[in-house]
Amino acid sequence: MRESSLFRGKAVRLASALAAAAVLAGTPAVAATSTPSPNATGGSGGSSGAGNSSGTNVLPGTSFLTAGKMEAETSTTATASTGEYMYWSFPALAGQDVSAKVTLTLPGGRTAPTTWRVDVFDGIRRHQPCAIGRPQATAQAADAEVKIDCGPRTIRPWSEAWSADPLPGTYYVRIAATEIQEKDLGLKLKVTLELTADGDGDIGPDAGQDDSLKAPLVPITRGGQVLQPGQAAETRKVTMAGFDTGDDAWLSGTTGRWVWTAAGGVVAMLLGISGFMFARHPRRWFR
Amino acid sequence: MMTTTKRRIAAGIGALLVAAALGGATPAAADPDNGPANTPPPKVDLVLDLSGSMNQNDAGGQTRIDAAKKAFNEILEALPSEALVGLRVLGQGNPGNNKAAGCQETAQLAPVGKPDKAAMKVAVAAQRPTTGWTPIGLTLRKAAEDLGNEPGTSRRIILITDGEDSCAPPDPCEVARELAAAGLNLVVDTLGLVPDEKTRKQLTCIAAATGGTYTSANNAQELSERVTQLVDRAVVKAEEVTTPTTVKGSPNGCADAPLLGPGVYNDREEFEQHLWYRVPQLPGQELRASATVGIDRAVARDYDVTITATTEDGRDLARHTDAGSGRMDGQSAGLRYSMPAKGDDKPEAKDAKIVCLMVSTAFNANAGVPRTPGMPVELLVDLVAASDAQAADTHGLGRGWIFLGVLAGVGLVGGLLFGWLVRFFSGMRRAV
Repeated sequence: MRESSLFRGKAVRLASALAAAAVLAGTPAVAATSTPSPNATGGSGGSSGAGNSSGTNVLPGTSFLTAGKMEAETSTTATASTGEYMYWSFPALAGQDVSAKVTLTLPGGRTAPTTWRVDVFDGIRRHQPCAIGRPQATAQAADAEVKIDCGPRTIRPWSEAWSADPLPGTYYVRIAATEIQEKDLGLKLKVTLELTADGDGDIGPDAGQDDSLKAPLVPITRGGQVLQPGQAAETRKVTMAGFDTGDDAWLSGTTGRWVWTAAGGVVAMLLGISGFMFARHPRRWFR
Repeated sequence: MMTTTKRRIAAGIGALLVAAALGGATPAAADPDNGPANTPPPKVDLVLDLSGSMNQNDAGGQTRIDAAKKAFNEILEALPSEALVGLRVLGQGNPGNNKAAGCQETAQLAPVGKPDKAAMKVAVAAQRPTTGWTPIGLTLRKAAEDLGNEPGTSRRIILITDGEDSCAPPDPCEVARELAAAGLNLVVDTLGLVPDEKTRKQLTCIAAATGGTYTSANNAQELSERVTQLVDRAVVKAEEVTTPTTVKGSPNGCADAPLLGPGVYNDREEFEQHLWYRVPQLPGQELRASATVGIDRAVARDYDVTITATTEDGRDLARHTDAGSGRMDGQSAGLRYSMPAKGDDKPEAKDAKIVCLMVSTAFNANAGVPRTPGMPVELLVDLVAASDAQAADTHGLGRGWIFLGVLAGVGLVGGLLFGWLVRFFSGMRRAV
């Protein structure tokens, strides 16, 4: 066979070693290029046990601007008044399935059924539908407790500007009584909010590499300034723990895809030739 | 004895209220990119109703009074010196049946400013609860005056009362709505002591009109608990204070709309109105805008808010509509629009394109519900780094270790199979 005579001895071993090295090289690099896990980047949270309270309870705010700041995978307990609107916020990353689980311990002496609702909003206050969970429940006057929960869709690394897909950034949780008897307002209410974030923030090798959000949806928190004609404002730098724009990701973009594909072809060719040599002349390998 | 008891409780309440003032007092934590560096400290005016029988239900709770007094001392000691707190009472006189005189009964016990703790303590303790009139509307106006009118400050009134207004007009809820619309960033929290239905309705109306909270308490222990709850929450909130800038959007169209830079704004929008704003956007910037319309009055069950970004000549750039239903504090919508960067040059102000933002709503209400002032609008405008607006073309190319592994695997298996085939057939040929 003519082709087999092209590669002999050292050449064969070199080729197969190259191919093996190319495959092996991939193994450790997987960990290096994956999106950081939320546990490692939880910021002030520190310890990473799921659902653990971070120690101090975060009290609710009464609006988006005053929302109580929580971390994902923490819980909080607070007292409030029935009929109040309670807001909390927390950061979340691409690939995470976040959810808000709410337990309301209701006051006694209520006169009528009350409907409670939990809503999740993204960083630009777009209401996110609950893909899982039951966000609304009605408590009868005699009920001592009601549970509601809402888990929006998996957070994506990027979406078209016109879509309202969930993106990395700040998320808001609002708890409200949507139907309540006027007599039952202002009573003491105990609220427990548990935030969970499943998924480690790595949603595969394509995540945020061709297209990525350049700034997480973390809202501005300063008073605005009216401009004079001809003025234009600077771009605000937005930062969030664990957020990666993917700009400096290894081999990103279309160029990266060409490199991956070509490299894949070369590896396939080398391994094909090695496989052929091994099958054709196995004794040469075990001399 | 009864008078002393009442006075002590009043003093305790006063102290707890003073502590509530801490809420805004701590300077805002400065975040280099997001945070306000020099937000003036928020101001709080505490308003205590002395007119009624608010301590009636507290039968001989001596230890509770002691506890309240203890809390008073502790909280007063802990009050940071930079807190800006004032104290006002209403219905403090004893005018008998003279309504005209009784309805003027409100007095400032301590001006809004760095508190003179000893003087405040004495002033509250010296007040005698009476059975006079309850001029809540007038008192709210006076309390708002106490808080001043310099821009950029957030203001809070904490009103504690046991009875509804007995002096209308002015109707306290109308006054509250008027004050909230005056662009003062004023919020009124209300606390009802043993509230009856009328009081509750009035206090919830005041709270809703200004975006504050309503809380009730039925005895001294509850009162202490609930005020402590308000205080605790206010204290936690202290590190993050955002004061929106008041702006007046144009109802006529984009051409004469105000030019906005990034930040948080307040406005008012009437039913059926469209409010326009203009934002200069540079190439390479992404415009993010959110609008929250506060539901500060009784509206029909279903409603929606739309925010639209267009060019000056009316081309659509982005829009978002969100609908809501039922009893709620507000309805929000938000959008993003990225303008692609032009080359590598840093864009200059002259490269900016004007984006027109329009906020419109669909709210409906019964004829009796006031139409003016309009509903509160909170508008967020932000300019951040632009992202790609459309998905990149992959040209059918692949990426990633799994992709590479599959190619390598297929190559290896193909080579092996081919090698064995060749070996098999050459062996056959040799055998033949």
